[in-house]
Amino acid sequence: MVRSAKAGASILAACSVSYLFYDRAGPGRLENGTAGVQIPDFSVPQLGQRMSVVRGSSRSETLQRAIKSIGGMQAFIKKGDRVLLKVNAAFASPPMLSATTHPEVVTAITRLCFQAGAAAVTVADNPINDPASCFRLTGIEQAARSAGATVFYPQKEYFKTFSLAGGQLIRNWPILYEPLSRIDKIIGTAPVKDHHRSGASMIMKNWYGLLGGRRNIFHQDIHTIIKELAMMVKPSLVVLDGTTTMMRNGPTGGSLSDLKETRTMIVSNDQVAADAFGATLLDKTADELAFIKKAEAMGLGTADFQSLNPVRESI
Amino acid sequence: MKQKIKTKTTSKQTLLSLIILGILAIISGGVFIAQFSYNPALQQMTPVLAAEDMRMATAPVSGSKSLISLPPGQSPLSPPEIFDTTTLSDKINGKAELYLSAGFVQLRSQRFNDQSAGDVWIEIFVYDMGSPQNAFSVFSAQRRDDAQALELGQFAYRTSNALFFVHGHFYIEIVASDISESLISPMMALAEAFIAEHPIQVQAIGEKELFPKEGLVETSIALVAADAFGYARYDQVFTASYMLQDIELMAYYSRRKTASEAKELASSYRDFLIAFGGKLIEADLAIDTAEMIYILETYEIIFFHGPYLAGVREAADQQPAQELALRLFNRIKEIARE
Repeated sequence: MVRSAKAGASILAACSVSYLFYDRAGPGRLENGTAGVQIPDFSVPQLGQRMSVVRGSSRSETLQRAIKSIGGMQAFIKKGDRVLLKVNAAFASPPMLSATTHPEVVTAITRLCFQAGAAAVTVADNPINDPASCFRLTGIEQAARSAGATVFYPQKEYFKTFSLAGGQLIRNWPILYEPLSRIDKIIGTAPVKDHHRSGASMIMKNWYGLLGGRRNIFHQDIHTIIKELAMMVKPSLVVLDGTTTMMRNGPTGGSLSDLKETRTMIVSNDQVAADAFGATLLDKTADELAFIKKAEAMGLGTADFQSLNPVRESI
Repeated sequence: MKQKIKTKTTSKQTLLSLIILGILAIISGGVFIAQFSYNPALQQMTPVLAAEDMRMATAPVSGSKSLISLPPGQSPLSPPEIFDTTTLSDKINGKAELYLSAGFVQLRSQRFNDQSAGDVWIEIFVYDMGSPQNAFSVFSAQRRDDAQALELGQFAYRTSNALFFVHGHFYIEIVASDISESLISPMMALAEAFIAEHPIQVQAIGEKELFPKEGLVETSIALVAADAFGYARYDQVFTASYMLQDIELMAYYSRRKTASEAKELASSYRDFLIAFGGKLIEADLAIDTAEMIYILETYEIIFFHGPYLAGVREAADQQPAQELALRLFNRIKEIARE
């Protein structure tokens, strides 16, 4: 009897403690987007892997030449397509510091899309700093509007919960889904920059701007998150602007002395190859940037950009 | 007479115990496996927008519209923004780690306009690094090649569009959105206004005195707050570049808490280099505690003296490496005696 009473008391105590610690709500979840969403594949696989590298100092000229040399924008954008141009507008920083997508690139891509028959072009990002300041001070807003594009400002209700199939980090995470849900094609464009944490910030890292929430947590495993971002977005085309490269003190820079005139525009539909080439502008190799090797290992593209026989031209 | 208590367990009791233990083992196994598929979303709390936290942190400071009393002709273009250790990356993204690892406390920033500058704006970043040494660490880690010295303190320079300086425990950047010599004057006025408003007791950082003068590249002195030379245990390491016999090489030192810590860390770093392909070189070194390693086609010398851990790196030749190590050792001995 005594033993039974002791056992009963122990069970009761254990149950009481469990009840005390029981979290009825469970782990914190997002306020909106209870149902997970999917991101379509925006790539144009029938084109195969294409790449061009054009050297010159005028962004609009090198960009037009580079796109023309891999079949023209009409190869990637069809009549009536709604296009999302994912820029890097992360910071409220002037264009001359090359921390964000240059306005000339925004204008040139937008115009080419419309010339190819695009029905609409939307420019979007979820900046690190205040979005209104970022789009305005970077010159992106004015450039986009002057070329006929719409600027998409992130708002809370535009985020939905997303889980990446096979993802280790992007699970039940808010992404800027609204602009992705109403498009046919996506073009990613970013400047070539040094990055204190990942070694480089180029095309694949730029998809970071589609994430919401306290995404800085992912900096703890930066190479894996960049790989997963490349898994998440399969772009129609990417434009890596290496006209001016931020060689050090990235990703924000701050001084013109952080920059180098590298006079190179890289256009491809293989984002891994584009980043691998971009690495060379930073005096690095793809082997030195773990996220490139990880993305290649996932079959997202090739780090051996030479194997694509890139078209090379100079202006 | 005392009755003997039956202590032998029954088979039912044994079975029940085994079942309970089995359940506990399954639960433990489940917890063990689950930890390998950690989901960051479990820490995901609102806000959804990256900038929301920043907006919360941008409330005007003490009712003022400006972080500092502005020089004549300047006015705020944006509200002051304040960032702490949890929100710093909302402002500077991936560069936050550089500051956090060096003891970052708070960042205040704001954009201003100067009447004379038209649409051009100036942004000030005031990093409170907690100590002058920490402030020097982030200052030195980002020093630009084309730096021109400024009379704003012990550590200050300008480039074509920005000023960078250390003021006490603050590291300050003033960045203009365009290049113009006419902007330097308002930027200097802003810097001087900040200095006037934040009087500090000048605390010289004495690392310049410890490095031997001959061959020293004066502007190269830096403080690596963490993970120096890729070795996680090397922190608070002062480094300096030298040109000796047309060979560029680096000297470094770190003052540890105790002599035994310095000795143990030297030994540990030697093992680290050897683990990554380094080879211990037999050499007649003039420093008792020194060891020489050949790695990646360069020579490294590691030694310790009292609480000082020091060395020479990236030397293409043995002789200049030994010379510099000996000079550094003698200088450390002098300092230790003082």
